[in-house]
Amino acid sequence: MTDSLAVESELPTSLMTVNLGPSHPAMHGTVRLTVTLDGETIIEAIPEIGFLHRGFSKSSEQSTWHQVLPYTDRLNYVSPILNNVGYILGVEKLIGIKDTERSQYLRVLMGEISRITDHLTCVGAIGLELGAFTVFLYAMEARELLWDRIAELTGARVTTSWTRVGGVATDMPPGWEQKLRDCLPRVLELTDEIDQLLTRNRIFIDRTRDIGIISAEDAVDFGFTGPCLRACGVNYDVRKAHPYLVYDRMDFTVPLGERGDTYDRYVLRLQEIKQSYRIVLQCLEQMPPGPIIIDDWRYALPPKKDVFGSIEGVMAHFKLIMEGIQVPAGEVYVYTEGANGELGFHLVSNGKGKPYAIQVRGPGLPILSALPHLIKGHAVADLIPIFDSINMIGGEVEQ
Amino acid sequence: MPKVFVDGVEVEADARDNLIEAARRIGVHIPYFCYHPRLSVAGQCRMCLVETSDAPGRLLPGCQVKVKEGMKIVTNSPAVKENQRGCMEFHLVNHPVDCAICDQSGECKLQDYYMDYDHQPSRIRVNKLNKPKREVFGPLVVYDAERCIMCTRCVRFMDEIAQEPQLAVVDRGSHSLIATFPGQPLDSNYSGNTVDICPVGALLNRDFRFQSRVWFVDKSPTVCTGCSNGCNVYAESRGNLIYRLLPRRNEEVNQVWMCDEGRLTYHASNEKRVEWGEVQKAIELLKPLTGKPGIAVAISAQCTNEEATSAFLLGAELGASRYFLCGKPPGKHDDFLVRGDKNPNTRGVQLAAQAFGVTLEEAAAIDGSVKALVAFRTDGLTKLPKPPEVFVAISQNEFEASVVLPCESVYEQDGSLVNWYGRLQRTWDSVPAPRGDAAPAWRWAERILTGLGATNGPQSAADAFEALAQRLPDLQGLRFEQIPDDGIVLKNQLPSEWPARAPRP
Amino acid sequence: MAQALIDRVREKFAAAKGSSHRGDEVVTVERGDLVAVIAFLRNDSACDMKLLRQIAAVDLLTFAGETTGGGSLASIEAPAYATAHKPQVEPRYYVSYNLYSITKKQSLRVRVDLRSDDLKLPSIASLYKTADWWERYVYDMFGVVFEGHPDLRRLLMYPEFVGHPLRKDYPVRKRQPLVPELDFPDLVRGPGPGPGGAGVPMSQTHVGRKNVDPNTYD
Repeated sequence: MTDSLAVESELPTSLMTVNLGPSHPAMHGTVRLTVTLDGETIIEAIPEIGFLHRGFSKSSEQSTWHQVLPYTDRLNYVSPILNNVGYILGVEKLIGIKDTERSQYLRVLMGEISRITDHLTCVGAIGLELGAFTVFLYAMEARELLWDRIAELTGARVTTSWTRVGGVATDMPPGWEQKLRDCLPRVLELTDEIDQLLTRNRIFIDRTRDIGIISAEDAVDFGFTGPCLRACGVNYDVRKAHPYLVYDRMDFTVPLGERGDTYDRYVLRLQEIKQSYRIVLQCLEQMPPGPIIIDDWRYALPPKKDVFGSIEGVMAHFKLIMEGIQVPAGEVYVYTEGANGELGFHLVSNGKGKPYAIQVRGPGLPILSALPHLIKGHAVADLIPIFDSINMIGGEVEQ
Repeated sequence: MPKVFVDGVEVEADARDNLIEAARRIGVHIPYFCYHPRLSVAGQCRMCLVETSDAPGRLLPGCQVKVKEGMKIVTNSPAVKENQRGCMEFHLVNHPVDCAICDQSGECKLQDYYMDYDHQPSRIRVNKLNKPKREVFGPLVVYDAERCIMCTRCVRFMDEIAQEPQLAVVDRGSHSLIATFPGQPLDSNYSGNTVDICPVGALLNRDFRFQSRVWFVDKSPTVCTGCSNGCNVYAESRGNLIYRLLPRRNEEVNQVWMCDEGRLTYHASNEKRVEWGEVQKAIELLKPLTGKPGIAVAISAQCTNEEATSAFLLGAELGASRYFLCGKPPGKHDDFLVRGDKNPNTRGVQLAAQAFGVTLEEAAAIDGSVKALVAFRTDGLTKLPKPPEVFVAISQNEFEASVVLPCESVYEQDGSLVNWYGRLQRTWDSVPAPRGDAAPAWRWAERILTGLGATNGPQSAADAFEALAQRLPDLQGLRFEQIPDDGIVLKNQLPSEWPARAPRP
Repeated sequence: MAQALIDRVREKFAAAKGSSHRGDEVVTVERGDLVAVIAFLRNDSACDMKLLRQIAAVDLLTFAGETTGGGSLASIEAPAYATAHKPQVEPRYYVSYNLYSITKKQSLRVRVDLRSDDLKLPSIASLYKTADWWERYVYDMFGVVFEGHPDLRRLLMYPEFVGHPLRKDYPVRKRQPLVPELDFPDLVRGPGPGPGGAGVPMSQTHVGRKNVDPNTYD
């Protein structure tokens, strides 16, 4: 009787190249992976991106500073308010102005709600693709509650374009604060349900623990930021390291992981949802009444009665819309904590109403570039949880 | 060269500079409405007031005061800023809320200076003064008195540059208006320039009014085709239409002005255009006649040099025995910018004929002995008593002939023209969108040449220019890309007599 | 606070120039010093800039644009004796390396100016693993060649793309030449046009067969 393993090791085999093509249910946001397999083990994986490149930088050179805002919505399309906030902070830094106090609180409040929706999407997707469909539906229910609040305030669920230079576009409608306070406990409840279903689930742990490990040093070298970096134990959160808006007045902790594996990345996101919830409540407590946009007609549109009633108003409105805000010449890099990591905008102005050059530092690009490093040696089945846990959003990687 | 200090920065100024020009040398912009570098100084708007070391504690108008050695000029002190803000407020007190319907939106000094120097809400609580709106002054100009800020640039221009004083200020105080003499229109041939220099939307071009918003059109440099002066212009276009022509600065041709007739020449490029034509038919008609007697080529003086060169190349291939120079009939001239020859490139076509060793006859000499005629542009050929049997016309506008091939207008092609005193100037393609199959005439010549089996057809405007430059000693060694943006004077061609006020190199 | 960083760099590399705008510090270095400066910033314990956030590039071709404001004729409101001003355009590009130190909480941008006829830079992919994709991005969008890069090819655009899109002279509405369909030899294709396939549409394979069951592919 021959030893079956001995027989197997003598069988002629060859490496197989499989294409996890851009249209693939597990490939979030069109990424193509050319995977070389030895049986089930991944020998090499080469990512190819560019399928969602829509020319953000080139288009923004043709638009005024405010017309770029809808483009920024579509960068990280699961947390668009964080993109809006990041970009407008850059423009305000170039001009050298600050927005009103109430607008700062509003931006933090909506930003954290957006962050919660992003993490819910990611966690839901991890569950979905490992077979836990219930987790996905719980996450979607929670996300729907929050998107309804976002829609009531900004006017849109996803394409919010909500911030303006010097403030924000809309304030809380009457009754909105109470609706938010009512739905947040349900969101937390659903998060806890997800936690109970997955975090100590034997199957889940087996599929995600020690899968896709990256060391802290390698993570920094690869340019990781955000939850993927903090999962390795590196404590870098822009909100704490370089507080902007009113984050310095908020009391929250930054959860850290230990091993840098998929499991840590998942747990981290759940904990961040809870911290964001704390920030939201503190914003609601501390928010002062007042204007939501500065009263300077060089940057903010005049009220409509002045636009239709006085020559000054119509001229200001006209110039701001047609030529854009005249931003003084200069170059600035502004960075905020996006849901996936440090979202940076490198803005160059030549003194005119249109950006001269914008380059987005999407947090997903460096993380995606490390994907071959993360999955080498793992099985094809491990590719799915790893890819979900890095939460690559095609829009911000490829602009 | 006096040295002055503008906001602390040392500037080497010209002795003729006033404070505005001295500051402009380092990019500091002192705002002004009534000042214009080529007109006399009015000092009326008070927007250019700055602080100087000459008059401490007071503000001086930057347009009137000339530079002095060592003078210190301050343009950003609180007093200057308050004056600028106050001036804007006063200018806007009675200004109508017209931006939405005013043509000047997008190129209006009030709008620009308001955002830069004022940006405050209005403080008036009473109704604004009403004055006559849309008063027709003349064939090209309409006046809106409510928008007028009485800078008097138009009055000074008509007095000094056009030298036809047809405008004046009437009435007093807030009720002042610009007006023509009762019953007399503003019909000078330079009235369009008052529209250009008006800083607000008070004087407007009737031809351009409500046709397009200025931010929709792209501006592109080219040369006017109205007469042989060759005024440098900007053609503003969108799609395949040109919306207006504006003068471009060239000190040696037109300074910064142009005449009204020239402003209207773009209509020929927009209206009644030929768009499609079959070159195969032209080749079939011409092939059997090649080398036989009775072939002639007619070249219009509206052609660019490249088109004229290709005409002579084609004529040589066809064995043409006679060449005709046609064009628009001559018209009025004056002592400033307008020349009697209403074709932009008569000199250029004549030079090309000289280069190819060919004599040009007048278009009136076309008679029955011409059996086949290839016409490069068809100005002056519409009323031929007996059109030839075979008539291939490369025409820009609608025309009757055996074969009509669509020609691009001079505004739509890269080319060169020679003006009346021998200045070679470039034109550029100013219309972004194509119009049917229209192509420059040299391209049609190249296609016909290829159809006839020849290989010397020009592949580009630079090629055609090269073919001309090789044969002309005046242009030896000059390449198309090297023609300077503001033209180059062919010294051997300079005339000895000049009209009294024509700009000269 | 990053001024101290700039000073440390200038101690070692005298040709470096520092500048600051709205709180962002930038040090401009020569191309020859680039790798040494970045290696120094990375490895020196006082700088410890282990995070390379971004490599950005800017094309300055149209930086001094048309004057807006004052009317479209503002450019011709100059006196007769004034000479026309032509802005200089070289060096046309600059590449900006955005470095950060997590331990010291300091940012610094290192900038190199490049001429359009000499668009090359040494690659720092050996210093930072993330530089690999950023350099490919800058190459793709601007055409800057990084010497020593392990695999310099386009990142976002497809390989047959002609031109470098973020250059200022690349027209926004430019069309690309059509790329013929690639043939994948191992691919099993069903009926349909294209290389490797049956070459005919599905419906035509059933020409002449009237009673075809749509649920079977026969």
